[in-house]
Amino acid sequence: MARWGMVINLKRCNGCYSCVLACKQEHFLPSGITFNRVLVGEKGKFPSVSRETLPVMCNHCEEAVCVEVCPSGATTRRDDGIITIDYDKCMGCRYCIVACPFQQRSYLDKVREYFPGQETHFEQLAKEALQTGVAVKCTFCKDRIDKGLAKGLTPGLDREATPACVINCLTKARHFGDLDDPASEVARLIKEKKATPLHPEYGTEPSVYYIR
Amino acid sequence: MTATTREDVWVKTTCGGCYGNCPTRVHRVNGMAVKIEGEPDCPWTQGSICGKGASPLQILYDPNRLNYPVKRTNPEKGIGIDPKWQRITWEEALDTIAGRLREIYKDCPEAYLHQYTPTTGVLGCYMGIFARAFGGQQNSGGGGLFCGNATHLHAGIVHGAWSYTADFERANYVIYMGASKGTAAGHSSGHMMKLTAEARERGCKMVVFDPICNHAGGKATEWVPILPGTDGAVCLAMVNIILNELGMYDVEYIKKESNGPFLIGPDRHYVRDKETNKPLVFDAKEGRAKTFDDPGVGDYALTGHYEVNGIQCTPAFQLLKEHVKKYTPEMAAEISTVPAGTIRRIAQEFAEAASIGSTVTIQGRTLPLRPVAVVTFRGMCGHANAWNSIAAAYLLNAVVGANDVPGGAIGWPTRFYGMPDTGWPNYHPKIDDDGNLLGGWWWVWEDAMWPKPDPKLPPDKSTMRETFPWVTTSPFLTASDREWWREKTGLKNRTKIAIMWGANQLMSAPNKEEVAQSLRDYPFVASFRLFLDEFSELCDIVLPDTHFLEALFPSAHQEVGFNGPTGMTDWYVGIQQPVVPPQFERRQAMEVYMELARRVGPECLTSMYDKLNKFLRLRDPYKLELDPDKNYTWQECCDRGFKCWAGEEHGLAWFEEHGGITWPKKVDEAYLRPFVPNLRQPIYYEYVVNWGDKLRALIEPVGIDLEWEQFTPLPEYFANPYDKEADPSFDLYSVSYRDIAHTGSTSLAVPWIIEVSATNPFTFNIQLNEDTARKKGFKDGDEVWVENIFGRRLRGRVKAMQGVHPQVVGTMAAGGHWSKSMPAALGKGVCINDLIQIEKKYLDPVCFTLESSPKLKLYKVKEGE
Repeated sequence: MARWGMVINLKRCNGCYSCVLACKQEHFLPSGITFNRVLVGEKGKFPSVSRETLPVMCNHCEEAVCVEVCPSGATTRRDDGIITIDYDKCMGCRYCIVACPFQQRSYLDKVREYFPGQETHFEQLAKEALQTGVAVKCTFCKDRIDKGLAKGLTPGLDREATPACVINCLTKARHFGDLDDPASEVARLIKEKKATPLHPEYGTEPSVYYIR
Repeated sequence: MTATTREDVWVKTTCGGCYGNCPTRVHRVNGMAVKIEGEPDCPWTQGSICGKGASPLQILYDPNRLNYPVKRTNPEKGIGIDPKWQRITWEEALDTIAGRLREIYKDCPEAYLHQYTPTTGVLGCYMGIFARAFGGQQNSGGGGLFCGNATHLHAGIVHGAWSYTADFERANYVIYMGASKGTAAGHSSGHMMKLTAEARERGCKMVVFDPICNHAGGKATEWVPILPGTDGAVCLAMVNIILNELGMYDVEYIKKESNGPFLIGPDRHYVRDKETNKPLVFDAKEGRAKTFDDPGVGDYALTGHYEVNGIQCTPAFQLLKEHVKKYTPEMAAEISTVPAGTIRRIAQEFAEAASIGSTVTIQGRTLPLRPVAVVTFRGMCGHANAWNSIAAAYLLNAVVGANDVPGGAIGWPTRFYGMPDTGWPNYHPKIDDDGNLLGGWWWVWEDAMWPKPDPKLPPDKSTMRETFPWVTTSPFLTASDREWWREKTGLKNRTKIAIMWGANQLMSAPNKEEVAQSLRDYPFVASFRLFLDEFSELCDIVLPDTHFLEALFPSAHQEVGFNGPTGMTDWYVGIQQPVVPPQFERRQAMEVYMELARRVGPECLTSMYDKLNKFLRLRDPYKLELDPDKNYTWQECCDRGFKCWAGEEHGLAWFEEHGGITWPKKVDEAYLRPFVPNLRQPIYYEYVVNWGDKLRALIEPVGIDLEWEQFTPLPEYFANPYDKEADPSFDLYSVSYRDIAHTGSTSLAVPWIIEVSATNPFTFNIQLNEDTARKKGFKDGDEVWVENIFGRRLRGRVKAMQGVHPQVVGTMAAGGHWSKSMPAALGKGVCINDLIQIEKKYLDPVCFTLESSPKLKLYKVKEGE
């Protein structure tokens, strides 16, 4: 069984928000909900300053705190490493949101309008695709992966089977594949470029790595 | 999708979110467009698209769009004054507009002014076809005044293209002087993002001179803070170091590819051969002068003083070398605040990285390899010294031999062998008798970038390009001293009808009250718009335009010199087509312009067909017949275009299904210079002396005085005109920038874009250096007034940061919407353009680029204000 993971090359990333918006369309996310985010800040003192842009998302941790704390069994870790939420089981207690050390979960109380007071098909799509009263977060585009695999495609190599943020990244900063397969691009990049996850000290063993 | 899915298709099209025109595909399910992706078959975006390009569905489906033609019922026109719109039929709208046009068509077609948004790139150029057919005039309605005027001029002359960039596939050391290639909207935007990312990973050093460390500076190997508008001084100092301290310049290139050996007389002009009138060089081997293109020149003298035909003369290179000596790094440091040591080091790194003498073999051809480039654009250009500053930057690429060779500073392609099956349309560069480049690709129209026509008086058109031929975007329509210019030049025709396609000019052009007044002065203003936005407030009739996802264009990609792929990246020519049919009564402007031509009369309609033939490069048997009884549709024009370019079997239907065609580039399509014999790039700008002489002789007698010193063949640094007069409380320079998530003002209407922008702590705020903010007693979130020397002011909130020059106020351009038709945009950012003044003393006298860094003062908003 594969263990899906992502490598984000921060040298390549230019902070264009393509990942954020590809994701919002892929998952019909309503106003105020983002599975991908790009954090912007700066480092250093004038005149030696650099701008920091950091794309963040659910890290699909091997030792996931959210799985541990979920009282209803809605949040689970699949055999392929994807942390998933069963919306039918989630009772919206938000323990996972508080527990996630990376602050990657949101509570979807209702589908908010993009144009306040004016419902559009964006909200209709969101209502069809999502449930309210539940915790939500990045799914690693598990539907694309599952459907792709069923067709004999390889996630990370075949467009159809690869997460939307990866295929849409204009700077080709995002890579996806099987962390356990030493021949995969992600495994090779982690080894060759010494990619590291965010906050390894938390001990959660994230599946998202960064090349700095 | 679910069991209820009746339709599930991908429609291939082209993005119109910025000039880049990246190929995209749109997922349509049950008649609704639900997702935009990059087109996988496109060689430069390879199936991806930037955040801006992913977001336009929220304009397509914005419930606040304009859906029907409307006319004003309130005769009072002004900012914030309700026009009291009344819905009208298309019939009434077209009748009214065509009636107005007919009134001026016979006697004075120049009184028709067409303006357009440059934001959608090549698509906007199609919109000018009607104006040409009618005999009117046209001007960019957007921010062109401080955008590219000078850059386009230099790029046209040196590269034969609209702009230039670094050859990122091979570059190792790139200096940005106010450029944002790879981190903003613009020419080949998506392509540049991908190429710069690869270059960074490969280890290409990026040194970014910029007053703010945001998108370009943030991705740099080194950010060098600099005072706005002073980059020219730094460039001249670096040229000085390379020529006079390091001696690391490309002698072969200067001798054989530049006008460095051309002999210059005491009158600053070329010394010419008596018989052929060609410029002379001195053959050091034979000890006599020869024409520059004489194949028998043994050795081009670059130094020394000579007497030829009784004239004392000196090679241009020698003059340049002497000229730049006064630009010491210490002097440039004083002007720019960049330490002299930094200037010295970067000049040396640049010259070393140029690896002068190295070669590379591509497609079997051995070519010079110069993996360095200085890239400039709006940041360096938007100043009253624009022509000189850009000229100085171009010198750096020239002295190391890096123009239009692999790895170097390359223009967008100016040679194009045409599409694979037909070899059509094709463009090839040529040279004139002085060795100047005549770009292969250029507008098919007569007003090419180079050569420029001689100036003449009086001008027929209020854009006044006849008098000032080096103007790209004309300042004379909205300048606060426009009446003065009109009186002095004896302008013949005043604008009577203006039609604007897109362009929210009240926000994207400087000084909104002057823009509003200029619009009030026109007896009739109509516009194609997506929203009843700020510009609409000044219109008589507003027409509901289609969004680019509802529009058909036969390709944005064959205009390769504008935004075709650079370097060795393969060609792609693809369609832009509606992904959903236009809703309500929206109509595509191209169809409406054709209908207007029909209503103006048979002569105008056949003229429209003629211009369409020209613009679409139609040749037999695809040419439109010049017969007013032929009722050609825009669809048919597009079909003919495709067939003519791509072959009979590749008509509109083929492109609708397949999207586009890609094929490999030839090396001489990518790199111009080694393949054009006797091409001489200017390192001594003799042409500008000619321009100055001719213009001065023409306009001084009518009482127009310009800063003639700026017409100099050897570039100089000229200080910001605001330095001369501002009182000391105006202590900060304005710098506005294009945010990576935004294009012009329209991107602010997109809730998705607003949502991501709100996560950036700087985007919507007034950005100040932390020291500056502390000295002024401001803290983050404080509301402040930002005021210019004319007393115009705006308010915004302070965000202090480290990555901004202490003497600068930073803002994202084109914020500050006030129209209720774009609710997402309300209260986001500030309209900094309003604090810029268009009048003579703030204009570059050579190409009339506007100073966009006025001095400003900031003070806290009082309680209750």
